[in-house]
Amino acid sequence: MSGRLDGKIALITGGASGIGRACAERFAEEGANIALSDIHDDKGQETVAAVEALGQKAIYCHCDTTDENEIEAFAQAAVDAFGQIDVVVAAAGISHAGYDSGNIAADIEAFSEGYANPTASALVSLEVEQWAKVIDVNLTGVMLTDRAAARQMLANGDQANGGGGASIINIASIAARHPQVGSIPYTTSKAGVWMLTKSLAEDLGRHGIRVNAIGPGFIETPMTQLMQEFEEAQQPTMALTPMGRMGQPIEVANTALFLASDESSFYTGQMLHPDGGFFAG
Amino acid sequence: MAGRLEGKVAVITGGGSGIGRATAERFAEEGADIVIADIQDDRGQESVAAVEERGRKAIYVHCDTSREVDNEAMGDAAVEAFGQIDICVAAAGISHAQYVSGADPTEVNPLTPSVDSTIGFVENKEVGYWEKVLAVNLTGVMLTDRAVVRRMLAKGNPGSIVNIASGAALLPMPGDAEYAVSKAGVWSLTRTLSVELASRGIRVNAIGPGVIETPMTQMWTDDESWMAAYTENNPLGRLGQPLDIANTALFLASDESSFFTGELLQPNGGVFTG
Amino acid sequence: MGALETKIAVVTGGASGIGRACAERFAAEGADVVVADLDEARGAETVAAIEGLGQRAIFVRTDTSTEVDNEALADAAIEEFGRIDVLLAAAGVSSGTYVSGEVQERAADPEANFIVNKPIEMWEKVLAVNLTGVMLTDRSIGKRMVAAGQGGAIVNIASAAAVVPLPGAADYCVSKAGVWMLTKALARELAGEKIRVNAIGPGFVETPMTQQIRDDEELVQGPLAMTPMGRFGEPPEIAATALYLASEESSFMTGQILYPGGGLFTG
Repeated sequence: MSGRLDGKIALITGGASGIGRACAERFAEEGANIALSDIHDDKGQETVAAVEALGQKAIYCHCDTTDENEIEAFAQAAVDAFGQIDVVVAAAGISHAGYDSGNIAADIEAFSEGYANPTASALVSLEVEQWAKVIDVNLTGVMLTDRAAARQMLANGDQANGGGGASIINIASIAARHPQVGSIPYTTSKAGVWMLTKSLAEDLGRHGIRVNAIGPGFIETPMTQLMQEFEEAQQPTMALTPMGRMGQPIEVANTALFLASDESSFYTGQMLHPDGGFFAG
Repeated sequence: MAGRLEGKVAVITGGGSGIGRATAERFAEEGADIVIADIQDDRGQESVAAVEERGRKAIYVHCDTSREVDNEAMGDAAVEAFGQIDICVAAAGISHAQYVSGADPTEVNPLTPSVDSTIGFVENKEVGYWEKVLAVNLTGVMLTDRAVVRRMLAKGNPGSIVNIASGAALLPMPGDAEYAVSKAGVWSLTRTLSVELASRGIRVNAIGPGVIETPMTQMWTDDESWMAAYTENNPLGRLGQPLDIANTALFLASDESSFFTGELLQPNGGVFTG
Repeated sequence: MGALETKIAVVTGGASGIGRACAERFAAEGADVVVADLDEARGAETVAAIEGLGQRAIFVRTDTSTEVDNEALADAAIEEFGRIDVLLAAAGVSSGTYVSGEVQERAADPEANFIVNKPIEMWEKVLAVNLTGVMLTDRSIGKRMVAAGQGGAIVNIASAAAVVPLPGAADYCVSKAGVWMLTKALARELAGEKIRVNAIGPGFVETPMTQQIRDDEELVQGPLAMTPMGRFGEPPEIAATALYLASEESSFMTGQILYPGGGLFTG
């Protein structure tokens, strides 16, 4: 039985861990070849190995998505290796300016500031660099990724004519629509990704390129490790999630698969929320 | 100095208590004459007296808003008394099928904080409860809006319709699906009606109040532990007052909101609703 | 192996349009199906199509606006198949006089159906089928899922009209907004029972419900202008979303509404 992404090429940023990695593996299971990028090269190579173990091909590029040259080079490398780009998952993101995937000490340092000085407004004590870094990676980085990929897709011929299946998927967050699930830089950056998604959808729709977003709820990844390890941090989020548990990366990857495949052929400009019922609660 | 609603005529359903009464009083302070509609006649008459104390005229009309004939009669009575209708505030509503405004709040129902809310779940509740809430909160608002708009169009005067929905229009409460559904319906109705009437000079907007200190919320606000949790989660740390909603209704009723139509305003202390 | 292998699905409105496409897609993915509708002839066709795909199916004539028919439908499903895993509630009307497949008389005055002019019986009929009917179906099937204790997935077909106002069709819009809220409320109520409840808000789709608009050169321009993709959707595209929501693939999703609308703005 053929896979739902048979013969497709997927470009995935943030592919070394968490959601990005789960997407790479799930897409490979469905027959796609993968071009993945990250800033953690050793973990990136592990994902390459996982994809190859599933019988598909993969390349890895070191890529800081905030660097226009690096992201353009990555997109070009994908086309050089595989001929074209069909699907994009922009999953590279950070929860705070000092975020380092897997480095829980950095998370503790970042979030303990808020607890130390609860009377001050978060914005009042915010350093501009803390804001700028998060906006840069989470919003500008996603824009640069989408732009580089769209350029390659359009160079490959207008996707509206027979190409079909060109699909860009931006990983946002429930924070795109809810002010209390992250810091001000984080929620604002994700809201920006949501609007970028909708605007791009209009922009690229007539060229046959669909653009959608995923706004996951609380998912078990390196980014939520702090929450997983400290019960006090977990309790409020579990109370807000009707399903009463965290999500698994595979559940987000399945959503990405739906948006990547032809099953979502009438979708563009939408955001899907695998969030355990968060918004209903 | 002229009031912001000087010389206007406003029809207010549910005008006998809570948000409806506060709105009647506020509008009267700003120079409007009022048609009070309710099913509790004694309270309706009290609202009339409150309006007259503020130097304006008022009449009371008994009106079960779930009945088309009552709404039409109310519209006729308004035009007969005052010549035309400029404003409508549809505030008549119930929180559950057996709701009676001002009744003993200790009476047990699924919405009582200490009670297991699963008894109010859709699969456990009789269909009649669902139908009653929809009839008053949704169909009733449609019938009121319809009766008033017909008379505005007949006279050719501009107008402003304000539908009182709820924060539940966006976010449901456990055990009271029909309330949230009815309010989501009011919000949808508001938007479609606003498009139908946009070129006719009649604006239609809605208000989605948070938790307001009125007879409808007494069963929760009387509960200490409920109030403690509420106060902690509310950014402004307090209950809304009927006056907060009346002021919002005033803004939407007056020319100050002349470029607003099809909107939902949410005075709720900053609580997230989606 | 199909995504719904060994599952039992109940599909209301299964005789045509979106309901039919979903019933067939579910069968293609390995489910057996209970087809519910008012239209016995076309319902039988759906059953035949499912059997042609190698799955089992029965037809149960159901007026979803009545509690008694929904209970009978649920009982029939349990009697035939022993349990229910998936519910797709697609039975709906576009107006008070709608009959699927029949030509509707187009009102001479475009404002005849504006709220100020609309007869209350039309409003009440649309709410009874589209909103109360969906609630009754979700309730009857939901009760059996809760009793069986094996979880399940409920998918309600709402419409983009839940959030996009359509002059002259306020009753339709309101009924669909109600379905969306019902979906969210039910998702909360049933989360502890591992029953997920989601909705789909399709844009403009090629079904009997839009036949008249599509046949009219003038009327069709409106929907096309509102749809960035510049075309109507096809029922299989909506069925693909229904499959996603019915299957384990959407395991962390509940209380959501998905809008396959070709880019139609939904906020």
